[in-house]
Amino acid sequence: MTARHRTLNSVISFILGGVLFAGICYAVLRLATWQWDGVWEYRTVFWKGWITTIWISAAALLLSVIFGLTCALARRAPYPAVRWLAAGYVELIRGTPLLVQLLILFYVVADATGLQNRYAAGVIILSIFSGAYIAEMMRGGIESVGKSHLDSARAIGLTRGQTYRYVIFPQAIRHILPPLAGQAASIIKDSSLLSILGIAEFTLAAQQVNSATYSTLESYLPLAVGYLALTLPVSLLARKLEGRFRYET
Amino acid sequence: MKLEFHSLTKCYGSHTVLDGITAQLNFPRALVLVGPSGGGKSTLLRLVGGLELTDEGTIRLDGELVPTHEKSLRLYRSGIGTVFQSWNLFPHLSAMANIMLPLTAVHRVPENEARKRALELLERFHLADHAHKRPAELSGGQRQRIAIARAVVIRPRLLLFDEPTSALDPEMTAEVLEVIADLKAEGRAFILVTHAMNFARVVADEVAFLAQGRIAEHGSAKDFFSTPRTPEATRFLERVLKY
Ligand SMILES: Nc1ncnc2c1ncn2[C@@H]1O[C@H](COP(=O)(O)OP(=O)(O)OP(=O)(O)O)[C@@H](O)[C@H]1O
Ligand SMILES: [Mg+2]
Repeated sequence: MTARHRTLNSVISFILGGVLFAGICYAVLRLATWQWDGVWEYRTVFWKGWITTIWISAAALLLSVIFGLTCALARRAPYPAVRWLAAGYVELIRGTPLLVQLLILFYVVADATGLQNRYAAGVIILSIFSGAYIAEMMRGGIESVGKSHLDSARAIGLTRGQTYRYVIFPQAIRHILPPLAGQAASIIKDSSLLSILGIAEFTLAAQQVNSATYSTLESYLPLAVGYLALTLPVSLLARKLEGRFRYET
Repeated sequence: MKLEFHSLTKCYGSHTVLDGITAQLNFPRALVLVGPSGGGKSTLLRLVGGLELTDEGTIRLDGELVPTHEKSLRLYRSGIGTVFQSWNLFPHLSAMANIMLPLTAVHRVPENEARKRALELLERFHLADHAHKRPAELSGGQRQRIAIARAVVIRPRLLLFDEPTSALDPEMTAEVLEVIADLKAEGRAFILVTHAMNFARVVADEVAFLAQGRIAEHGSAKDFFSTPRTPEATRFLERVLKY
């Protein structure tokens, strides 16, 4: 990027920032009829929902990494049936909306298997969804390791497992971590859909507050801010990881 | 060392790369494979190293059959030191860690013992100052010498070098060839594929000439370079020694 481009960029950012700021000021002044008192009464509902969103997302991230890793390894398995199964899972999940998966998996699968805890079901379904995306990231990371290194590993006499442990994973991780951090942000946002299962996470909490107070914006603006408070740091982390790993060889 | 091939055949798809090689090669220490590009030298070396499976025929190393099943093949490979043309080292590991990996992971040598053996080799190859560096921070010649150290550190029964200097400039080439000559003086057995004919002439006990998937001729280095018996070898030597 040239110096001129950079100047142009900052000018544009400055103007856009100014417009946004003016818009917010306008909204604040215009909506003189803010009714925060009613919503303030329900602050513990928000707080509990927010905390629930955090642990649901954390659990789903952990579980989906496990699903993704299993699937990525399965796609490289020596047995074709296992490879097809893994590929089918990825295509099926990535080809359908999360909402549809929630409807089908929760009301059909979770019911049929007697999974009564809706929180567990929600986390598992979210993980199945996110795991398919993570599987693709991991596959990309694993495939980024040059064939010559696998040859070297074989020549030394490493087993398959040792090759993953000492050669593939340490090299793949730098390709996987940045998009994985991005995926963490996606999980946080996607977890809002779990509200339709009656899971009392952040979005459902805001909906409850809204129906109790009839002040829509006052209920939903904190919702947006609450999600941003979670996703912004994660996105920044992703950005930072990307920069770090790009320049290191 | 005694290396025996019996109707050794290797194909890639419909392309026959090694075409029923039967030969017995005896060499106290150094066997050098020469021949035109595409003649099958690398393929033969990879078969001897247990990195590829034969389509037909057998290979015996000192009378012992090279295995054909992955599990025993892995064990076999772990006793052989291999150095390729380039990209031998793992880029995320330091020189030291690269050399130690086969010892600790494959040969179950304790960490401090492995470190000691790696350091000895690094010192011997004048690389001790670079022990902590990653491959990207090393010159091509240094990288190849570290790759050789990694192949040697396991005290292999046989070393395999596939054109270890062809990606290097003359000065680095000299560094690497020096190390190989040094290993020979120490009594290590190896097979070397090289286009460096002058070095081959000096270092080889036995030379095998590989062309069109066959060992056209083999014999002592002295005989091969002074009086090649086949017209192919004569032409090959004329061509490569011309400049
Ligand atoms: N993995 C492979 N798949 C398909 N063909 C291959 C493969 N490896 C080698 N070949 C082919 O086999 C033939 C012999 O290759 P090989 O690398 O053994 O020759 P070489 O004597 O080592 O040549 P060079 O001196 O150029 O290294 C070539 O025609 C090559 O294209
Ligand atoms: Mg070759």
